[in-house]
Amino acid sequence: MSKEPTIDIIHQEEDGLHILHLAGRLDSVTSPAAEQRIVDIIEKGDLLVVNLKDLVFISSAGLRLILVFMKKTKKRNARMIFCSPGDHILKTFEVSNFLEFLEIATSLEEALLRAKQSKNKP
Amino acid sequence: MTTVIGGDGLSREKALRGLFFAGLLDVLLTTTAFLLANSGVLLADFLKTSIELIAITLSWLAIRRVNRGGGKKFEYGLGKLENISSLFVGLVMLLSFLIITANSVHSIIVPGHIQGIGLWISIGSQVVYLGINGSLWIKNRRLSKSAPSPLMDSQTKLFLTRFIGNAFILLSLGLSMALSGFGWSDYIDPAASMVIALSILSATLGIFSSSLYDLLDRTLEEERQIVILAELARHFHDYEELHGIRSRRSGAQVYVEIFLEFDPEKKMAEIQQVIDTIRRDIEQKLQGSSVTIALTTEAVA
Repeated sequence: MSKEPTIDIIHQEEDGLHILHLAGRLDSVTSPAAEQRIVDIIEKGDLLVVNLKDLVFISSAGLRLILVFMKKTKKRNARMIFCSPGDHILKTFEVSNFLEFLEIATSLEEALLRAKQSKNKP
Repeated sequence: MTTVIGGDGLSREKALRGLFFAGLLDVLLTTTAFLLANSGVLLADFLKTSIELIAITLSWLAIRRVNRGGGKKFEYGLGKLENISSLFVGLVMLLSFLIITANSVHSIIVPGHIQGIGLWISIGSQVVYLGINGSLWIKNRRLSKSAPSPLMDSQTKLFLTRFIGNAFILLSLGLSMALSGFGWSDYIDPAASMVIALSILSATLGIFSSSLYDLLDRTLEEERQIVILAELARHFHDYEELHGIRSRRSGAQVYVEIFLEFDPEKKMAEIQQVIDTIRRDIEQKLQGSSVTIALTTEAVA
């Protein structure tokens, strides 16, 4: 029997900086639950870091979700930094033109550094 | 068939009309040959050419309907009729398989020499049709690539099968006649007709699986969904929000609805330009697609 795909979302908040750790699969099964949860967080924060290190798969439904997140972030004049995507995820972003508007850091440390620098700007 | 109207639809109608008359002549020849000889291979050939004529006739009638007069009644095309026609052809093919198999089994149990003037009629026509079917197969393959549809696809496969079939029948009749001095040569004809029956069965299974699958409205394949998203990503800065994407496939047609929100300060002319560009870009990249972009400020399920 096949196992139902899942996505685990861990949310941390440190001094106004929201960090989201996504683990599992972002597809048509997991996207609806993830959308509600992440949209709520986007509406609270101006600075978000999304760690994709443990995201193993993203489908078109997941891409649509990221497009929606980026639009909402832009509308609020907020900033969302994605970090540590695996090769497969990065390739998917590339072929779907997402690299044209996504801000991607190679590691969580780099993303946090960028976020903190942005926060310290007057 | 689908919704192609105008130059493309008319060229397909003309091609199908030519195929219909060629097929009709083929059926007349195979019927004569079959009636004037006691060959299982010629029975199989007669059934096979009749199937092809049925497929061509259905396709021709449907495309005539689209091109002349069905416009207002069938604005979304005849995709489902095309699939149903393919299924009907599949059923006739299945019936033919059963008839040929039963005849072959009977010929194996009660073997006999094949004979009659029908053999020579068939040999003559096989030589001529070998050349004709080869060229028609190439022509249909080109048409199917430029305007893909389940029925055009099934016809391309049918003509390839016919081409190989002509060569095979020629070989089997030639061997049966040349080796008639040997007792075991009586089994060449039923064995060859079983091979034809199996090739018909194989084509039947292919038609059933693709037509049944296409008959159901379904969402787009993953790679096509990504094409839509890639275009929306390319125009990321041109709209405010993405509220939803709906897509479905009906036969060869693809329908996409995209719900976008724009900056209320933007002029309608600017919005119209963005919509036209996105729509055109997606339609160019997704063959057979019809894209609608709706304006909304709310999420669409």
